[in-house]
Amino acid sequence: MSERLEIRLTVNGAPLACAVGQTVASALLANSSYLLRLSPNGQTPRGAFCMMGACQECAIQIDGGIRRACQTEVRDGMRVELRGAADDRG
Amino acid sequence: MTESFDLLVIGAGPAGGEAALSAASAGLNVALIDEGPAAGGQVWRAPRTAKAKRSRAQDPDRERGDDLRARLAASSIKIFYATQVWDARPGFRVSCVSDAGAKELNAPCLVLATGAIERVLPFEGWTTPGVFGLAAATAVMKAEKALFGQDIVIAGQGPLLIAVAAKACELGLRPRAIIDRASRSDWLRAAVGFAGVPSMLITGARWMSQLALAGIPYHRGSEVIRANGDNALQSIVMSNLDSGATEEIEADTLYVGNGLTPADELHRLLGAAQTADGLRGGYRTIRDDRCRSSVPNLYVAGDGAGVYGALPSAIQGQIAGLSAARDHGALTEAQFSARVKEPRRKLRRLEKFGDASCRLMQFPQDVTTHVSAETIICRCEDVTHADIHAAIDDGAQDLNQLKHFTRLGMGPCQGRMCGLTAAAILNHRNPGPKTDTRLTPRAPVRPIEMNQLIGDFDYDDIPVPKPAPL
Repeated sequence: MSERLEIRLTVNGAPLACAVGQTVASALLANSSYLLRLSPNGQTPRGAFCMMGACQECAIQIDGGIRRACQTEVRDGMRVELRGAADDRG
Repeated sequence: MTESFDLLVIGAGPAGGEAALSAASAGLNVALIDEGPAAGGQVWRAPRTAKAKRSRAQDPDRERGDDLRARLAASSIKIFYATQVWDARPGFRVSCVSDAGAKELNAPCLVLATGAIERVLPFEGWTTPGVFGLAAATAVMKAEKALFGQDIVIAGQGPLLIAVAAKACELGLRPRAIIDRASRSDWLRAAVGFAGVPSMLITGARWMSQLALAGIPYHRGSEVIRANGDNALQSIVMSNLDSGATEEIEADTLYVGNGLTPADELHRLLGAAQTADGLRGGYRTIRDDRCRSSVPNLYVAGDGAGVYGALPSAIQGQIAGLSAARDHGALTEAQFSARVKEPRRKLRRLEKFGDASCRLMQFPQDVTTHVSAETIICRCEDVTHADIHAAIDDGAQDLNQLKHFTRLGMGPCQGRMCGLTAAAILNHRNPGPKTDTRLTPRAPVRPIEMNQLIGDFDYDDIPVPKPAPL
């Protein structure tokens, strides 16, 4: 049985529907958005990794602050920005 | 904002939840803090989506978690969910942030029940999006009854490997391969230790037979040596540990993990004495049979002090909570002794199982010898294997020096992902007496933004000091 997608985020301005209780990371992953950002030094592509709040790989811009996507529950109208990821790598 | 209690408990998993409950039942005024939205920790994690909540699949971890959550909800314990601890100071003063802003909680007694984090052995391309920890798979499956990926490979070592593979099959997925560092004889040796807890042995055997029945290719004595792909994973390369024979497998998602290690930043920050853990690798926090650490009124329970698994953690939690209640004067020595008798008996049996599990998660010190020079070891700062060897050539002798030389461990994860690997490289390069291979812990133990600490304020709220006379 599939989830009812009642919540709308925007990711780099584009809408993304997701289910109540999902995290930002799982909403992105369920949408096959694996690339979240580039590492600051080596500029290597990164996605979520530990999904339990330890590794900080999924720390992205959420509603203007840097938050771990795997620990942040989705809320209607939430603005997610994958800076670096989408801009620099097309 | 500051609030005071008799006892603070950090971590609402099996250990912390039970610690808070047993202390509260003895009459203590208890606060329980967890960064998650519900109690249960990693193993007894609460379902989060409607789909996961609806699921009626038989799951002992879910039942134990639901039971813990119900008892906590009915208790007098003040619970702070979705609250991140970023500092703990003697006395004890614990600093946290949540959506509601910054908070300081004070209490004369503190239980640390911070659980474990996963260790993942680095390999070329392990930073590629689409490569996840094994525990990531369990977290998502428990919370959402879903797992990401079409072509999934599950790899690593330890009991979690077959647990994840079997649960993925239950969700209707068909992993393309299971790649296990352990050989058949490693598992047989471990099974001897598992025999003390027959229910666990049966669960494990059932998972193994489910996988065999499903015909999932199971590669024993093998490991992933490379992940290929740029912005997304495309394939992995597997190597047989004995023959060195390699095979490439197409995959868009890899779940890989090499066992668990204590999340002990707060233990170390508060100066609790630790000892090298020969069996598990890394360090564990020293505690007496009352779960007291070397620091007065600081109690440690569960995997955060030494990895034994969820069930022993819950019992250690009960003992820690009773111990805090005893030291706080809420229980007499006779009452304490009567109440810890049964938990202590159970714990002795379960800890043997924990030791057997950890044997399957062992992490040999020469494990990085085959890792290529360009492999990233410190993910946060992009420090490569070659960078670490160069720093050791230049005289770095411990982890803090490696940090100064290379920035390893200086990024947002604070060395949680690379510390054990870097320690293994150091120990392998410098045989002889072992130096201390821990990074000095520092607050904030998790990255926080200044504006989370400051909160919202108006211009008029800013205090303007009287100008000094000229």
